[in-house]
Amino acid sequence: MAKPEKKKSKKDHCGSLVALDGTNGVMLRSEAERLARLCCGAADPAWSLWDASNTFYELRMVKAKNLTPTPRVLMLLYASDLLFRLRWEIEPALKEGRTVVAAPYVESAMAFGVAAGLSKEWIEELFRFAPKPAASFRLKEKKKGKERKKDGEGEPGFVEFFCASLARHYPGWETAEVRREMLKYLKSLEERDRIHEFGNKPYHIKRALTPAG
Amino acid sequence: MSVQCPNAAEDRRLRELLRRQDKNRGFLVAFEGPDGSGKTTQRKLFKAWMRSVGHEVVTYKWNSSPLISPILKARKLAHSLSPEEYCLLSAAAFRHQLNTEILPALWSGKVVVADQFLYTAVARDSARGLDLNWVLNAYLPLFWPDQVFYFALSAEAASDRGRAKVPSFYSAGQDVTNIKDPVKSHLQFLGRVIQEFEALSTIFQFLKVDARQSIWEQHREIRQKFMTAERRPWGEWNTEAVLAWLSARAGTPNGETGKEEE
Repeated sequence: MAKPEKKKSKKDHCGSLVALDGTNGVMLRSEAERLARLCCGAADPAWSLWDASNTFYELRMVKAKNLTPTPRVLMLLYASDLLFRLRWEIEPALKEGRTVVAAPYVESAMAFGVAAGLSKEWIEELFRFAPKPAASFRLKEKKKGKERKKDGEGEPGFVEFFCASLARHYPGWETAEVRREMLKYLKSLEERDRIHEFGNKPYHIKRALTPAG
Repeated sequence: MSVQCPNAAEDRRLRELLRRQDKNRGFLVAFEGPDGSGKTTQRKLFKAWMRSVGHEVVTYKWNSSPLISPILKARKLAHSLSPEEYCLLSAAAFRHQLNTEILPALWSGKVVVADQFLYTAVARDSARGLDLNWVLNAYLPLFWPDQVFYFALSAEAASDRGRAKVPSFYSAGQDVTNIKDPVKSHLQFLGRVIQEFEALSTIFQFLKVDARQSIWEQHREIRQKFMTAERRPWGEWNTEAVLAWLSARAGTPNGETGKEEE
């Protein structure tokens, strides 16, 4: 006789990669854990944050004022950091059967690169190594002044770091406009159901994590 | 339209600027080949010759970007780089140096002599098992030197020449060969690198120099080849890379997409 089917628990969602992307790097840091807990419940959630490799931290420590990274250089470094995160954080956790929230993942880089004028095809090929996540979320923007820190203030996220580095050297750099373009790109993915909004309503998460979602 | 791209008028202006400067710019000569092939010796002789005939010469050395080299060095010491990470960090360092050292020097009419340009890195990355298309994509938009001298030598001969010095972990390819002895690993890895070089030599039209010849024979051959070979016009070969740099200089960091070409 076949065993009775086990009741589905929250744990059934574990062992998968969940991407959390957005235009606010600082918020992505803080929201990754919340999303990981919502995905797994109490089942040992894991999350992987930008600059786990310390590449950008080391860049900030370089005390040469004339060093000018371009968006292309930053994108290459972002990709190398993601490789590090995949090797040391994401893949080991997945092997243990845990759900890992990668915040940010590929779409944030794609949104930034496209907003900065890089070719989409180039970025797609660059990130070809990255496995497709089981579900992708876009962090809902909060109103100005609520959570967003000023660029360069405190511990920056990738958007803040990239924009601050570029704005220092390029007078034509418009951070607000870059964020608007990034959001436009991410929302276009949402319209095609490739990414789901992650706000305060957790029922969206369950729906996105089911195969039909 | 992306926010950081130059508008059509600005793009036209930059293309015109590029076209006019192409006559007055300097030229880039790259010296490529496996470890021990003698490219550094030849680069030094070439540089001295260029200076003696009145050129202002700048040397470009691979992976010496002050922005990224400290990071690379630390990771190499810790043996913590995967082949993909090594490739991307090197590509970032190259792009940074292209924009901050190579292109400004060429634009101002100087001769740039490169001790390893991107081809040595591409050959090593491919020898590490990475997909050539993915590696080349990391270096896009490509910047073609006016001339590339490739010092052809067998793995055994190259390894023999470098016997006095134990190769470092990554130079020996120990990250991919899993051979504990650096000398043995180097010999095996060099074989793979040379195979990749031979393929690149055809794709990128290298000027091949037989590195078994004496130092002076090689130098004479380089002089002859240099005098007879033509420069690569930027308008035909390097538009995208130069426009990206020019637009960054003009204050918008991008426009790296080369809109008109798309």
